Amino acid sequence: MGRTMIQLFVDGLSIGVVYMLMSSGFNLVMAVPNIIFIAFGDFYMLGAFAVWYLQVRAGVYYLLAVIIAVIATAILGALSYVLVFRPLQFRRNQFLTNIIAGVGLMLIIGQAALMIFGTGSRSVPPVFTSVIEVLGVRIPTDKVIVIGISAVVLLALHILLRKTRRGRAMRAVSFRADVATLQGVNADRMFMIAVTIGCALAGFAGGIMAPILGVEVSMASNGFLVMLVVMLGGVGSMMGAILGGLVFGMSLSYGQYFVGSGEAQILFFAVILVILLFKPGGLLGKNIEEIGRV
Amino acid sequence: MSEKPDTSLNDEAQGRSVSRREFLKLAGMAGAAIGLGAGLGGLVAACGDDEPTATTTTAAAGATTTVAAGLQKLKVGMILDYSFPLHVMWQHIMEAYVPHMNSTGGIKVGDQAYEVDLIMYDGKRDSETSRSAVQRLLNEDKVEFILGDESTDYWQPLTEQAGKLVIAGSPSPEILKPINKLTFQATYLNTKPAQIWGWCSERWPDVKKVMGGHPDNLQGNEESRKLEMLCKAWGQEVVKEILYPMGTTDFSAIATTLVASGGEVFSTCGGGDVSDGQFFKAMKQAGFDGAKWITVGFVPGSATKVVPIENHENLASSWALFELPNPPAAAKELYDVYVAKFGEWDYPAIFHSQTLWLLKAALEKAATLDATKLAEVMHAGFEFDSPDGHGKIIPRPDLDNPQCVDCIYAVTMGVVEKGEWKVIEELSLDRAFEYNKKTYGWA
Repeated sequence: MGRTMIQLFVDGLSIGVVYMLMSSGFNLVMAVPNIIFIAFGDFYMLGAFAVWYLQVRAGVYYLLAVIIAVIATAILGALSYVLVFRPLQFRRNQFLTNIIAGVGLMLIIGQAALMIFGTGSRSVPPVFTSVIEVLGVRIPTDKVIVIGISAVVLLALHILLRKTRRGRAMRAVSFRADVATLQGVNADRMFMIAVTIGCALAGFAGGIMAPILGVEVSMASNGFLVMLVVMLGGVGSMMGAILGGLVFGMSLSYGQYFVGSGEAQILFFAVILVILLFKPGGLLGKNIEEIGRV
Repeated sequence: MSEKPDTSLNDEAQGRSVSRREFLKLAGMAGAAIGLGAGLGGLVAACGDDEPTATTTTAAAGATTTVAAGLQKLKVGMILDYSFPLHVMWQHIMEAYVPHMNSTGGIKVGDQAYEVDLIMYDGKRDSETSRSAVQRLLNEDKVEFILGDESTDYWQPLTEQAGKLVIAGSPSPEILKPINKLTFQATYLNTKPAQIWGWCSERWPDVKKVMGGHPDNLQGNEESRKLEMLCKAWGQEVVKEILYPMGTTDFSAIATTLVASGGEVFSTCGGGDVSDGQFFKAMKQAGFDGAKWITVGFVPGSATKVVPIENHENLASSWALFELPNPPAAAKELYDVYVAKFGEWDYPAIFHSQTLWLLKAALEKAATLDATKLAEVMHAGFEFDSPDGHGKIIPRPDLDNPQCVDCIYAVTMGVVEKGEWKVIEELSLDRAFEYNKKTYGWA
C-alpha cells in the first residue's frame, strides 16, 4: 500500500508537470491587460502537431522538431497578439469584443487544425522507452526527462522575470503600464513579448509531451483546464501556477485510485469552487487587485 | 484638433460595468461549477436510462457515388457520423470499394445486375439529426435499403414502418428484438468478444482475476458491461474496472491502480489505436507483464505504429486478416482497391463495412429486391464471405429472437510472444457459435 501511494505521487507529478508549464505560460499571457486568450490550449495542440509532422512526416530529429515547434508557436502567438488583440486592446467598451476575438481565434485555429489533421489521433515515436525503478517505485525515463527539462525551463522563466531588466519591465507594465511607460518602458513591446513567451511555453509543453501522450486536435481543450489550474494556484503567481499544476496532478492521481477516474475530476472542480469562494485570488494569489502581476 | 489619447492602460479604466479581474473570478467559479455540474450530471445519467436528446440540427448534404450510365441503379442509403473517426474510415472504404464493385459487375439480383448508388448522410449519432437524415433517404431519395450505424435505435421505427430493410453496424441489442422484422446486424461487435474470450479462457484456464479499463463513453460502457458478462460466463472475476474520462492521455495513475488490484489479465478497447496503445504502454511501465486479452481483435501493423511491440507482450486476440501471410480473397480485394484509391493502407477499421458485404450477399442469394422476401431468406440464415472473414447469420435466442439477425465470423487467433505476433489457431464458424452459445447462455 505504501509503495502504491508513493507511486501515485510520482504519477501525479508526471500528470501535473505539463499543467505547471502551461499555467506558467498562461500567467504570462494574463499579465497583458484587456485580452482574454481563450485560444491558449490551441497552441499546446499546435506544438504537439508540429513535432509530429516534423518528426514523423519530415524525418526531422526530435530535439530539432521541438525547437522548431517552439519557434513556430511563438511566432503564431506574436501574430495573434498583433493582428487580433492589439487593435482591440484599448478601445472603449472592448470587453465583450475581446472575448469574441478570443473565441474567434480559438475557433479558427481549432477548425483549421481539424481540416488539416482530421479527428484521428497520431503518435510520435518515443524517445526513451526504459523505466527507472527505485525501491519498487517506477517512473518512465521519458517522464523523468520531461520533469527535469520543465524544472529548468521554469527556473529560467523565474530568472528572466525576477533578475533581468526585461523581466522587470514586463512585470512593471503588467502592474501599472502607464507608470512604466513614463519610465521609458515600451509597454506594447512588453505585452507582445509576454504573449510570445506564453505561447512558446504552450507549444513547448505540447512538443515534449507528444511522444508520451500522443497527438490529437481535441488536446486543445486542455486550455480550459489550464485556466482552472491558474485560478486555483493564483492568477499572476508563478509559484501558484506550479502549485496549481501539482494539485491538479495529485487530485487526478489519488482521486482516481480512491473514488474513480471520472469522480476525480469532479473532486477537482469542487475543490476549485470551494477555494475560490473563500480565496478569490487563488491559493497563492495575494490580492484580487494584483491580478496581472507576474 | 487631435483626439485625446486614451491613457487608461490599466484595469482601473473608467466606465465598465464588469472589470477583467471580476470576469476572471466569475469565469473561474463558473468553469469549476460547470465542470462539477457536468460531472455530477454524468453520474446521475449513468444511473438512469439513456434518452436521446433532441437537437435542432439538420442532416448534412448527402454524398453519392457515381453510377455508370445506362445500367440499373440500386439506391442504398447510409447513415454515419462524419466526425467519428471509425465512421470516417467506413466512409473511405465505401468510397473506394463501391465504384470498384460497380465497375466489376455490381450486385447480381437474379438475372439483373445493379450498380449501387450509395447516398451517405451525416446523422451525427444523434437522434434528431439521424431521424431527419433517414426521413430524407426514405421520402426524397427513395432508397431501397439503408446501412445504419450506432444511431439505428433512434430511427429504426421509421424504416420498419416504411418497410425498408436495414443492415446495421451497431452493438445495440434493441435493434435485434423480434418486434423488428427488417433489421439485421452485420458486424462482429456482438459475437467476436465471446469467441476471443472463450478461446483465451480455454487456453489459460487458471486465470481468474481480470482487470479492465475502458473510456467512459457509450462504447466504453458497453465494452465494460460486456467484459463483466464474459467473465461471468467463463468463470473469472473482474477485480478492478476503470472507466476513464474521454480525453485522458496520461494513463500512469490508472495503470498503477489496476496493477495494485492484483489482476492476472488486462483487457481494454474502445479508446482508439493511440489511446489503447498509450494504455498498454502505461501498464507495462507500471510493471505489468501479464496477459492481455483484447476482445475486438488486434491489428499488429496499426498497433505497433503507436507503441513498440514489447508493450503488447502476452497479448492474445484475433488477428486482422489483412496482416495474415495469405489473406482471404475478399480481404485482399479490399486492400488492393483501398490502396489504389488512397495511396496507402492506413489500417482503417472495416467492421462497419460488413453492412455492405452482408447486403450484397443477401441480395445475390435471395435474388429479389423485395424487402420482406429478402428478410425471409436472411432470417433462415446463410454463410457469406467478407473482408472480415467467412461469416454466417445467426439467431439471438438470448434476445428471444429465434430468427437469424446477427453475424459471427471465423477468426484467426494469435498471441504476442517474445516480441512477435504468432498465429496459433483458426477458429471455425461452428467453434465460434459454440463460444457464443456458452457466453450468452443459448439453449
